[in-house]
Amino acid sequence: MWDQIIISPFTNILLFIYTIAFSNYGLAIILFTGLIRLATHPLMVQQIKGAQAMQDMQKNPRYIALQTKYKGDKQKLQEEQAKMMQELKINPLASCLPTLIQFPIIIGLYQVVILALANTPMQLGNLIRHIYPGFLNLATLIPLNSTFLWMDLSQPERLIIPGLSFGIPILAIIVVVTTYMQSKMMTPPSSNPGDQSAMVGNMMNIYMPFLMGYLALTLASGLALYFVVSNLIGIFQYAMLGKLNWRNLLPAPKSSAVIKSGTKK
Amino acid sequence: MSTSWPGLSGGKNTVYLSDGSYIMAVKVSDGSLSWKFPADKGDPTRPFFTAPAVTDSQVIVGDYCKAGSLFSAVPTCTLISLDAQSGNQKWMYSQGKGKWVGSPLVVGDTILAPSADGLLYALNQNGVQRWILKTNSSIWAQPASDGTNVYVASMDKNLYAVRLSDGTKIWSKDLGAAIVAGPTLSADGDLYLGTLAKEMLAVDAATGNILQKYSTKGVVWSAPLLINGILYFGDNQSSSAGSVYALDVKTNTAKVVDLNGPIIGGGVKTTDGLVFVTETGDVQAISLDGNKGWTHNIAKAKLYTTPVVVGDRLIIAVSQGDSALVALDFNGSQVWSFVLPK
Repeated sequence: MWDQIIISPFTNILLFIYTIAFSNYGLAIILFTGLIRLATHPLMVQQIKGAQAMQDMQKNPRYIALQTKYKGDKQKLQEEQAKMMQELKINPLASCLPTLIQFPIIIGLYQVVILALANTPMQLGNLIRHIYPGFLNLATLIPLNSTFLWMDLSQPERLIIPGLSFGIPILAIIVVVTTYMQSKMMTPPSSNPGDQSAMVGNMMNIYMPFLMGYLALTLASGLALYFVVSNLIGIFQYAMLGKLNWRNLLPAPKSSAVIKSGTKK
Repeated sequence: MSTSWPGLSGGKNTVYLSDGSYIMAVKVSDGSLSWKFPADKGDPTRPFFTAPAVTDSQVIVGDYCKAGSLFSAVPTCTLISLDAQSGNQKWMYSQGKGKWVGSPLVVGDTILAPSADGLLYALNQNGVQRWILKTNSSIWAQPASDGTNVYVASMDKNLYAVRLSDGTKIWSKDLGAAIVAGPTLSADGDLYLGTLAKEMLAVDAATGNILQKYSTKGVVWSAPLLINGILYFGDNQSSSAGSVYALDVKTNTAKVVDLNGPIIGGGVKTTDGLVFVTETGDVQAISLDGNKGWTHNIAKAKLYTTPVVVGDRLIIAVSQGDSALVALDFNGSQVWSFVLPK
C-alpha cells in the first residue's frame, strides 16, 4: 500500500521532472522538493495558525488563573482547559496534525530520492518496478545522470581540494547550519522559557542539526541536497507568512536585573 | 532488501558462491563447505555478490566496496585472487573506484574485470594492470572475447570492441539503451545481447553494425545461451510474470514460454534440456524445442542467479530462502542444501 500510494507516484513524478530538467538529477531533486513543499503549504499555514492560537491561549489571564486554581488537581485542570479550548474554538490537533500528515510525505520523498539512485542491478530492478508502464521511457531514462555540480549524488559528498589529504563535507556543513537556522527562526518565543517543553525544544534545536548533519555526512549526497533545499524553502515559507524570528538567531539579551547587579560596586 | 543477489560459478567438483560477507567453496558431491574467505569473521561492510571467475589455480572476484571514512568518503573497491584449493588470498588489486558488479573473464593470461566506475581493467595473472578501457557509465556486464578481441557492453548504452593485447579501441556502437548483461559471441562472429529497451539485438562483431532486433515483453537481465543457432533467454515483465524465449537467429522468430515469475538469471544446459529460475522460487526445466518440463519450487526463496551445472548436479543459489544453495538432480529432485555459515 505504501508503495502504491507514496513511492510509485513520487518516483514517477521525480523522474518525469528529471526528464524535463535537462536530465539533471540535482535539479530534479530541487524542483521536486519545491513542488512537495508547495503542495503541503496549506498544511503548514494551518499548523502555524494552530500553534499561534495555542500560544495566545496560554497567555490568556483566564488560562493562567486556571493553572493557579487547579494546581493540585491535574484532571480538573485538563477538563477546564478543554472547556476553554472549546469556547475559544481552538482545535488542539491543529498544530500537530499537519506535521503528522507531512511526515509520511517527507519519509516517502527521502526513500524515493535514494530509490532513483539505483547503483546495483537489484536496486535498478526495484526502481524499474515502480515506473508506470508507458509513462517513462526506460531506454532514455537509464542510466540516471547523478552528477550535480562537484557531487556524485549517489555517494556521500566531499569537496576535494588539491593539497588537502581529506575532503571537506560542504553539503553536510550547510545541512547543519540550515537545520539550526530553520528550527531557531521558526520556533515561536516561549511564554515561559524555564518550563520543561521550552527546555526540550532548545535541546532539539541543538541535537537535530547534528543528527541531520551526520546523515548528510554518511548517506548519498542526493539526500543531503534534499535536506538543504527543504530547509531553505521552509525558511522562505515562514518568512512569506511573516513568522520568521530572526532575533532567535542572536544570543538572548541579559535581563536588566542581572546587568544592574553586574555593574553595581 | 539485500544490496544484490549472490554470485555463483562452477569449477571442478566445486561451486564458488559470493554471498554477502564471504566467498565460499562448496563441494558438489555433498554440499559441504571446502573453505571460506575470509577464513574467520567476515566484514559485512565489504560485501561480495559477483560471480567469481574460476581457473584451475585461482578464483578471482571483486567486492561491492568498503565505504570510506567520515572525512575521506572515498570507498575502497578491491578485486582479489584466491587460491582455488585453499581459499588463501594470492593478490589484490585496489585501483578500481566502483563496485565490481560484473564477473571477470579470464582469456589466456589476461584477466578482464569490469567495474561500476565505468572502466574495464585488464590485468595479468598476478594482478598487475596491463591496460584500461574507459566508458561513460558503469559496466555491469561480463565481457566476451574470441581470444583476439574483447567485446564489452556498458550502461552508457554502448557496445565496445577492443584488442585484447593492448586495449586499442576497434569500434563502439550506440545500441540505444543501457545494457545490463552479455554479450554472447557466436562462432560466426555475431554478438547477441539484450537491452533495457526490451530488445534482443544481433550485432556484427567485425563492424558493430546492428544486424537484427527482436522485441521482448520485458527487460532481459542476462546473457543469452546460444545452442545450435537458437538463443535461449528469459525476461522480467513484472513481479509475477516472465517468459523464456527460444529465438532462431536466422529467422528472428521465437517460441515463447510463459512462466509464473520474472526471470533475472540466465538459462543453463543440462543433459535433457535447459533450466531457468524465477524470482518466485521456481526452478523450471524447458526442453530445447521450448516445452515445459518439471518444476521444482524452493519455498520462501527468490531466485535471481544463473544456475550452474557441475557433473550431474544442478546448483541453485538462493536469495531470501532458508538455504544459500540447493542442489538438484536433472529430474528436479533435491539432493542437498547448503546453509551459510554463521
